[in-house]
Amino acid sequence: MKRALRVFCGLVAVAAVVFGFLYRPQSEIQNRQDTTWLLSLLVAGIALLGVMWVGRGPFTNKRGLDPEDRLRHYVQRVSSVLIVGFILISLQLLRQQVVIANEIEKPFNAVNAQGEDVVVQDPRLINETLSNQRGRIFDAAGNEVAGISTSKYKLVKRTYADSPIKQLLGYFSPLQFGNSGLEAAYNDYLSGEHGANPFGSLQRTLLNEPTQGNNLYLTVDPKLQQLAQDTLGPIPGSIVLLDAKSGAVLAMVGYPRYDPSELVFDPTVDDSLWNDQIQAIQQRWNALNNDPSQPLFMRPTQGLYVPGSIFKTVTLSGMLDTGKTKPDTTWKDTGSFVIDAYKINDPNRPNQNTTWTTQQGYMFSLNAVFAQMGVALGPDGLRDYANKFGFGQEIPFDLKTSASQIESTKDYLANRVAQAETGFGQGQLQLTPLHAALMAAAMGRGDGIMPKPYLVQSIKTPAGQLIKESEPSNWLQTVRPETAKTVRDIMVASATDGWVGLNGGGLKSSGAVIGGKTGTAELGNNLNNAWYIAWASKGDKLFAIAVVIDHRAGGEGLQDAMPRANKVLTTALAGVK
Amino acid sequence: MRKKNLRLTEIQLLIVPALLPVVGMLMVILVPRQQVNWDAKDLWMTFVFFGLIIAAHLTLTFTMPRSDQMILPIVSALTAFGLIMSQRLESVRTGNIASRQVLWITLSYFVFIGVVVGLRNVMLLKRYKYTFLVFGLGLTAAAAVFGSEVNGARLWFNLGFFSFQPGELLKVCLVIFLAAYLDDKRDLLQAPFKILGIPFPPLPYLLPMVAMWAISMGLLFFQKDLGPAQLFFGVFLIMLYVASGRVWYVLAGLVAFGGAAVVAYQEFAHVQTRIVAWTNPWPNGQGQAYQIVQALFGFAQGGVFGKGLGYGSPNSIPEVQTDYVFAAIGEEMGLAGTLGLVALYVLLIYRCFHIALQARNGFYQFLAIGFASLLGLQTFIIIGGVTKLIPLTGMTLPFISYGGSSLLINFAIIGILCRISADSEQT
Repeated sequence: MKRALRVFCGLVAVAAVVFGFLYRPQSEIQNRQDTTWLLSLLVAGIALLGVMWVGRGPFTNKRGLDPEDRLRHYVQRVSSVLIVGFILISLQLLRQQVVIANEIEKPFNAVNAQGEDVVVQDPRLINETLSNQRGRIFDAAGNEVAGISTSKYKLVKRTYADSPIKQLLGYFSPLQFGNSGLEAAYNDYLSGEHGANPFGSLQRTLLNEPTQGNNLYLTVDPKLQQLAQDTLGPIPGSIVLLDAKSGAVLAMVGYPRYDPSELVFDPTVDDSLWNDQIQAIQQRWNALNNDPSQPLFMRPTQGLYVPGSIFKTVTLSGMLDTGKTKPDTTWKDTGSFVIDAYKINDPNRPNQNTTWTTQQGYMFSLNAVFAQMGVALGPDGLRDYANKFGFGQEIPFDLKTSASQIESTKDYLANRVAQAETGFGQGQLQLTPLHAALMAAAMGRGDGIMPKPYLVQSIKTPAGQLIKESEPSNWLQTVRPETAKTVRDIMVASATDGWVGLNGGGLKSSGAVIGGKTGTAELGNNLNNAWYIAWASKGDKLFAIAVVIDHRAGGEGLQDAMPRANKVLTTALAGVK
Repeated sequence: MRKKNLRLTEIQLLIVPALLPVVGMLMVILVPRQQVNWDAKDLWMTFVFFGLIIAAHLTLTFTMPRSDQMILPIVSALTAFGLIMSQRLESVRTGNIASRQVLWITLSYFVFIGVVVGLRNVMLLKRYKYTFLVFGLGLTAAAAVFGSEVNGARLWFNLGFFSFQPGELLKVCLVIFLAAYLDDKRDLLQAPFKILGIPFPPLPYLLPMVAMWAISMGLLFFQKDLGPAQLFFGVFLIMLYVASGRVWYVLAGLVAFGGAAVVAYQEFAHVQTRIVAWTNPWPNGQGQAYQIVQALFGFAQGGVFGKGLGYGSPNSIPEVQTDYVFAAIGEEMGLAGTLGLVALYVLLIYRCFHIALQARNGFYQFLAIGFASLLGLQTFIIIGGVTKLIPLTGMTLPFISYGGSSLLINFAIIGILCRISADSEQT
């Protein structure tokens, strides 16, 4: 009987402990309270006393016969109480150090006595973050763009070379604002969480060495990037230069931009300066956030601009691909086009002719012709080809991208005026510079394939071992290859005998075959987006470029965008034999 | 000397506590330097400690070869941890606590040797039981009146070069007094007391019970803290139980103490803070419960094997070298280290009870039981407190925490226990 009772007490104790380890009410998890656990420990403790006390004692019915035995019994009981206490302590240690250790290490949001929100967080984690040997970032020429410097207390600062590429990295501010850009997208690799060999990281853990991050090698050519940055100047806009065959980004600049080194915290200085530094960074952050020009905004990949005439490339591709037109089909253009009592002006005609072929329409960017094509393609055709060109999707890329769009209100394209406007690039169209460059790439290749762009060529361990290498891949098949070939020829015609060619867009001295299209999107108040997209083929190289100058007073694709693209292309082509 | 008088077990067991600080101190000293070159100067504390354990061992060999052979190695191992941790936790804020701890350890071993050599007859303690009681209480009262105030409680005598806490001495005095008193009145146990047919505690029990309760409450009042009151009263209840064998005295005592604790909770903001820090520390993690939350972070960081000596950041816990030294050990040595220490304490307490059971007479037995429960309860209360098992009350971790008074007194206790075991009839 007593034996059974002891077994029962033992079972209760085990059950209480197991229950305490497994069950935790949601409210206690939220407040990080341990009431249930402590109660189950109490039950377990009492049950354990039961195990030790029940049935023990040689003289239960003969109290006081042998003082020696009696004392032994009492001492046993007292020591069993203490032993139970230490068993409970051991269980508590097991829980605090192992079972819920991860939970404890997470930041806890609390409200302090003054009613302010505070984060209760382990200062040791901050140290760990600050001593992480973050990976370095190199450009295509092997120059270090972002590095680290380590203080004698093993704290690590992110350092930046004076490189035009640092605008692509994003800010690194793990303790204040988080990371952005490449620093965020490749954080796992850069911090060393990913990609290291497991034995190496185990060894470092055992030796208490800080985690070693892995290095990123970018596709960006520092010379072209510098040139693109200088060419753009301090004018709102973007330039994107791609290797059209692989999709590798060779140059990508935007303005306004910010310098990530202004937001980086430097733990290598004396502790006493930390607070001032944090304040200063916070102020700079606030200033950047409140700046109406939005310097934190990554324009080349996330900026959405009305494309204007460069969208004619999509309309043309759609018309040719569906067979609704041929390059020599003629269209009527008398300087304006009236549809549903809405008059669309066409100031682009080089002369007073009233009939123009499709090809001429593209070469001279005739709005009236493309308005008619927009209507001919219809809402479904426009949507279909916009989708085939990747509108409505975020471009898969190493940086965050915005999705270009063909219409922002549903069924906008049902209206024929809207179809006409969209046909020549106005309407509700919105396009990112990276996307525009990809469009040029897809046509320039002649196979209609839009490559998947990439910025990170490879990731290597600090010892130089390759972890990951980017392979060129395709993103979209836009139009049939035959159609793409025709569009390619028309783009070449545009860059030789069209407005582009007549204004020097052919770059005859470069020895390359070039196809290009300008665009000028009217935004009202004489503010325009000046666009230019082009591809240039020389030897086995094929470049694609997109330039946009944003909200330019009286801006013209021919005057503001094309010359900039030509500069960059000339230099890029000069490097090709 | 005959072979059976050599304390071979003790020598073998002392190898570990002798080597422990060699490794520990080197790690703690070399890790911040980030190099492996060291010279003998780095080990001077270790050598001093080495000398002390040899001296203690030889003293025991020559004066009482038959005394318990496990106590000294266990206590030395714990003290070695204390030495290592004091070096580890030395910072600009704490000052040179490592060299001071070496001084305290040295003095403590001298006290141990002094007790072993000087206290030939433990029965002397019984004869002067009232002297001890008055002395202990008087000193504590004097401290409460004339002492210097720390954290709102007058508990310390500032003697210039160090602060002495008479509360530590009071613990020993009270245990000696209770052991003597209970031994004297033991016979009265045989005659149950009945008033109107209801069993009642005999007056000799009731009287000290009330007195102890009063003393505990007095402490509670002066110190505004449950810790020492908890400890004194717990030790008293254990001794009372062992002498009387009646669980319900203990229960009655607990109820009485619980009532006082509730009053204290309502009266003292200090006690309320402690309770909040126990039940709901996280929302107050930047305020009242800062210390315990930092300690919990430390334990969590430690995991199973710890960050390694010298590799954690235990100094982010305020006052880590005294009350929270266990959290520092948890961070740097992990669950392996903390459970190991708990095992050492359990072993020590087990050994003390063992001595009690073998002791020659009732006074010896009660004394040993009192000391054993004193060490056991204090360890439980402080470890339970820093691990958030029970509300935290400020107390030192025996033999490990930095601090002079507690170390000296604990070594005196160990000395008396060795004497008792030497005087026992068997072995």
